[in-house]
Formats: sequence, structure tokens, C-alpha cells
Amino acid sequence: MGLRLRFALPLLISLGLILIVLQFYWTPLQLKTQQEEFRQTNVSILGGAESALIRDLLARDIGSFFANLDLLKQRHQNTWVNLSYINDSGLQIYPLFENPTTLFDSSGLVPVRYPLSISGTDLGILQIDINWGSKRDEVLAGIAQIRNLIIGLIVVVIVITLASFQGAVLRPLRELSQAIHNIAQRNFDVSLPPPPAGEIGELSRSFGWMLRELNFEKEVLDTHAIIYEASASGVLMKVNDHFIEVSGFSREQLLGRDHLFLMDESADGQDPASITTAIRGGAVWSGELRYRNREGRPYWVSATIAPLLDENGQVERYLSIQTDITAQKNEERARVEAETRAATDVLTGLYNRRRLDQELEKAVERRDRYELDFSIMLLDMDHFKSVNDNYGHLVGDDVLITLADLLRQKARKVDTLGRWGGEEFLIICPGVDLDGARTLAERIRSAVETHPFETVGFKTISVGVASCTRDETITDLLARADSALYEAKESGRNRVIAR
Amino acid sequence: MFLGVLIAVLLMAAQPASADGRVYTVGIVPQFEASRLHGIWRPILDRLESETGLQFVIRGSSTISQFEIEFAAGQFDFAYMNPYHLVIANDSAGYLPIVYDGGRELSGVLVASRSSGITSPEQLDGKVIAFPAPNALGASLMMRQELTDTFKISFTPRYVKTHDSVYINVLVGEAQAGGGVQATLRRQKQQYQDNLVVIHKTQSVPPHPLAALPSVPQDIQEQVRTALLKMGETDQGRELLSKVPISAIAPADLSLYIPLKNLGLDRFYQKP
Repeated sequence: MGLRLRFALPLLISLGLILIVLQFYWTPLQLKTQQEEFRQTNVSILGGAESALIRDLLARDIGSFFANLDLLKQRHQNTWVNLSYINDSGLQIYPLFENPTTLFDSSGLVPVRYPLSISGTDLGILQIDINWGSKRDEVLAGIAQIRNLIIGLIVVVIVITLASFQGAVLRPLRELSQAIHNIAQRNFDVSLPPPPAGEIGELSRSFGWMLRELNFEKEVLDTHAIIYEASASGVLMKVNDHFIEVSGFSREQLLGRDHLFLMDESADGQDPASITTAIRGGAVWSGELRYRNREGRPYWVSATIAPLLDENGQVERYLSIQTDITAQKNEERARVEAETRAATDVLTGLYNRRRLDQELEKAVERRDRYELDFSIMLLDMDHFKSVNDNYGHLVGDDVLITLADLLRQKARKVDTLGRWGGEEFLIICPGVDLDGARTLAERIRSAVETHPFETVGFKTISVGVASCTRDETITDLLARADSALYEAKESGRNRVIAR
Repeated sequence: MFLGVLIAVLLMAAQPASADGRVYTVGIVPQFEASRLHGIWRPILDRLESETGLQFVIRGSSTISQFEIEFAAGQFDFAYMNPYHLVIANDSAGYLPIVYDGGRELSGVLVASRSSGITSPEQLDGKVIAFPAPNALGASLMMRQELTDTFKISFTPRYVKTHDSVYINVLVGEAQAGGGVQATLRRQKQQYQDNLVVIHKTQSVPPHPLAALPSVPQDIQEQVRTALLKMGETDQGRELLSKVPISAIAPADLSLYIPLKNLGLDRFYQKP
């Protein structure tokens, strides 16, 4: 029901009630009282004539009696019908030889009986039908006037009320409603009409603030968040604009697809199936995913996929909020690369000196904290200078590269390899004591010895091994390894000395 | 009535004396109220005055009874009265009639309701008969005299004040018959007349005379009689006289009224 009708309804109902009361209570009441009053007036007229009539009757002066009655009848001919007199024997003696007049409409006739008596003796009865039709019509006309006045007033009131209601409430509400409708149609670019004074204005203002807040949040979300809702079977039901923007697909192309259809890989190596298993069980999944957009370009998101449960605890649908972290991811990779670069020896690809220092420190730290022993071996290619001299630096570089490869092959996975300097290499071996390190070193040494290097043929290395003891500094440890290496060199090369 | 007396007194006071210095009083039986009587008689008296050079003043009586007392005491020089009054007046004060309406006769009629089946006065023995007033000449006095002397019936009289009343009383059955006069009967509504039947008519007597007191000089009486008769000869005069009512004024004398005297109406006359 329209607001206008709702508003006008009480007034209309009141009008109806008033009309009903007028019609069924007031009018009959008025008619009754007026009729009674009218009757009384006429009775008084008779009362006024009474004494003369009684005097005539007592004197048997029926002539004068008749003359008086004729006079009364004449005087009230407009309202009196059938004035008659019945004597005490029940005989009508006035009028003689006249039939009573019947009116076409006898509804307005009020019968009046006026007994004449003196000192308790009945003389007879005067009877009149008083036609109060015209008086009644007057009363009814008066009531009709009132009724019309009331109707007119109430109609005017309704019109005025509705008009002001229209202006003060309906129009602003409608404008507001239209604005809200626009928003529901995802058209956020609405400007609200200027708020009028009063409660509607309050509503409009509040809505305006809410709208700004929503706008802000939406902008924030749409700018930064990819949001979607998927059915219990994983089918995309709702996607926000940012999803569309980032993925490059249209809404129609997205809805109905599996929510992980764009997924390439996850940062922690999970596949769509494992994620699905996790969330189907009611767990919230968080992680970094790499997607492919429409053009096939990858982008990274930080995603949370939350299952929403119904009252029985069953998964009803999934809600996911994701942020595009491609930039961060790229930065991370760049950083990692930079880091790696900073820690890598360009030629051999092994750790560089700087990194080796860091690793040493870490090893010492591990020793201190976890009492994990470690050993280091410092090795050096024998007669490397002659390679450079005889074959040139390029060949020398190749030799070093090949050596590095050999080391990588022969060292354990847990060992940290690095180029210490020119033709010197350092290997940090966690968890081995001196003997163990020596064995390892020996293995490496013999591997090198037996490996035919391109161009230069067979080469050898000397190795100095030191095992880290408690409370020994890196410097001391290195000094010991270095000393061992020196000894290896001094004692004929192509050997391992452990200190 | 009082007004009439007042007017009369004032007029009398204002009236200059006539040639012989005397103002003649005229009494009129109060059949109507004073102002009406005055309206009828004053123009006539004015004519008389201009004709005779005499002065006349109307002297009103408040009731018929009062009138009767006054004329019996001879307080009017001239008086207009009904025939029976004349008889009494003649007996008591010697009044003699000078003029009367020769064109009329007075008699009473007895009516009964047509539906009553009464056709003659004999059937009224022991019944109720309505009369206007006890002393109404034709309707009551003469009628009752004849009913008693001629038809020898006894009846209960009811005096109902007016002729109209008499007829209606008969029509409604309050009285089995009623006494009235032809003139008033003819004035009733046609429906009333249709339902009434005249069952008896009394003998006729001459109507009201204008009478003079014997103490009024004869020549004055003659002057008045002549002047009045002369009025009867002109249209204008007849017009005035018809209001009395006198339709054909004629000289009168006592012999006209002797039969009336012999009826013994005083048996039926109600003294004041």
C-alpha cells in the first residue's frame, strides 16, 4: 500500500466514521428531538386554545367551538392535517361531512391526541395529524449541510496533508530510494539530493555518510581486494570488479567456472586438489597462489579461502578474499636474486667470500647454541699460477669452474661450498669431526687428481682441514686450516693435512 | 361595550345642543358589539341630524339584559329593539313604534337532522331541543310558545348561544331539533343545510321597530319618522338603512305588534 494511501487512510476512515455516526446516530436523534419539539409546539398551540374550546363545549356553544376549530385549522393549514374532535361518546363531531385527507406521503405525519377535560371530567379528544414534512426536510437539509461541510473540510485537510506529505516526505524518500536503487545496481556514482530539514533529512544525511563509507570501503576493496563467493561445489557465484580487472575475464566468463581454475601453483607447492580437500573439510586455507590471467600472464595473490557453514555445520559456500601481491612477489624475487647475487661468486657460482664468512658465523652460532660440531677444509689448486701463465686466464677460469663442479659433486648436500679467494676454496662440513673431515677431504682430493681437466690435463689440490673446537673463534679456526694447508703445500702438495 | 359607553359619553359631551337645546339619546339592542352598531347607526343619525336639525347620540348598553333594564327605565328617547322588547317596553315605559322594516317578517324555523327521521314537532315530545338564547324572538320565544301551546309537547331546551351552534348541535345529535331563523339557516354550509330539514315554521311577526318614548314631543317624533321614511326613498339612504338591516322602511304602529303581545311570551322570557 502506498505511503500516501496509508497516510490518508486514517483520515478517510475517520470521515467514514463521521458519516456513519451522522447517518445512523445523529440524524435519527436530531429527527426525533426535532419531531418531539415540533409536536410540543403544536400541543402548546392547542393548549393556548384549550380554555376557549372547553368554555364553548361546556356552554354547548358548538357553533363557537366549530368556529374556533375552523380558525385554528385555517391558521395552521400548512402543517395541520385532519383536525378532528371526538366527543366523549366516541363520536367524531368535527368536522362534519368531511373525509380525512390522506397525504401522498404520510411518513411525515405526527399524530397528536389532545384530550379536553375539565375538573377530571373528560369532554372529548382533539386529534390532529401534524405534517412536519417540511420541518423534517429542513432538519435533514441542515444535517446534509453539516455533512457536506465536514466532507469538504476533511477533503481539504486530506489534500493539504497529502500535498505537504508529498513534498516533505514522499519526494525526498523517492529520490533517496532511487539513489539506493542505483547503488544496488552497482552504480555507485550517485549524488544524493540535498537533504531537506527534519527526519527525512536526517535519514538522507545518514545515508549519505553510509554511502561515503561504503564507497570508501568499496573503492578500497575494489582497488585492492579480489573477492569471490563460490558454491559448495566450488563454482564461482559472485565475483567483485577487482577480480574481473585483475584476471582480465568478464563476469560472465568467470561465473560458473571452478574457483581455482586460474590457479597455476601455490607458493608452498600445493595443487588445487589439496586445497579443495582442505577447505571441503571446513578448514580455512591461507597462502600465496599464482594465477594466470586471460593473456596467460601470471600474477600472485595472497589468498584466504574460508568455507561458510550452515546451521548443520555443512559447507554452504566458500568466501575468498585475495590481494594481488605480484609486485611484492617480484620484489621478493628480485631481492632474493640480489641477495644471491651478492652472495655468489660470479665465475663458479659457489658462495663468495662474504657469504662464506656469514656461513662460518652461522656455523659457530649453531655450535654455540646447539653444540653442533663442524669442520672446515681450505683447499687450493696446486700450481695454478702456471695454468694461467701457460694457457691464459680464460683457461684458468675454465679450470676453476670445473673444479667447482667437482667439489659440488663430491661434497655432501649439507656442506657449504664457496670460493675463498683466487684459486682457494672453502668447504664447511657440519657434523663431522677431524677424522671424518679428513676422509671427506681425501675423497675430494683423489677425485680431483683423477679428473682430466680440459686442455690442462690432470691437476691436483692441497687441502687443509681443521675441526672447530669449543670456544674457538673463526679467525683461529681459519688460521689453523690455513696453517694445515700451508703444511700440505710444503710437504709436497696433492695431500690432505688435518689439524 | 365599555368603549361604546365611553364613545357615547364623549360624544354626548361634545355634541352641541340641537335647536331646542336637547340631545336625543338613541338606544340600540346590542346584537353586535358597540363599534359595529356605531358603524351602522351613526351615519343614519348623521343624516337625520342634517335632515331635521336635531341632535342624536347613541347610548350603548353593555348587554341585552342591561338594554332591557335601561329601556324599561325609559332611558332612551328612541330605541331600536326587537318586537318582543317593544311589547315589554310598551308595557313598562310606553314606547311606541314609529318605523319598521316593512319588507321583512320575523319567524322561527325548527330543524331536525335529516337522518333522524323526525318530521314533525310531535315526535319531539320528551326530547332535547336547542335554541340560541332564551330570549331570541323567532328562534326561541315564539318557537317554544308554539311547541308548548300548539303542539303541546314537553321538551328540554338547551341554550347554545348562537344559531350556528343550534344547527351543529342538531347535526351532531346533541339535540334532536333546534330553533333558528331562515336567514341564519341559509348562511350555513351547504353540507349542513343538506343534512337538516325544517320541520316547522312559526307564524310571522313584524320585525324590529325604532320606537320613541312618549315624553318625546310628538312633532319631534314626526320629524324623525318623516326623515327616516325620506331616507328610504334615496338609494344612498336605502344603502345606509340596509345595514341595520332595514330593507324597506315603513311607518309603524302598535297594532302591528299586538298579536305578539297576546302570545304570552313572557312565560318563556328569561328575566335578567
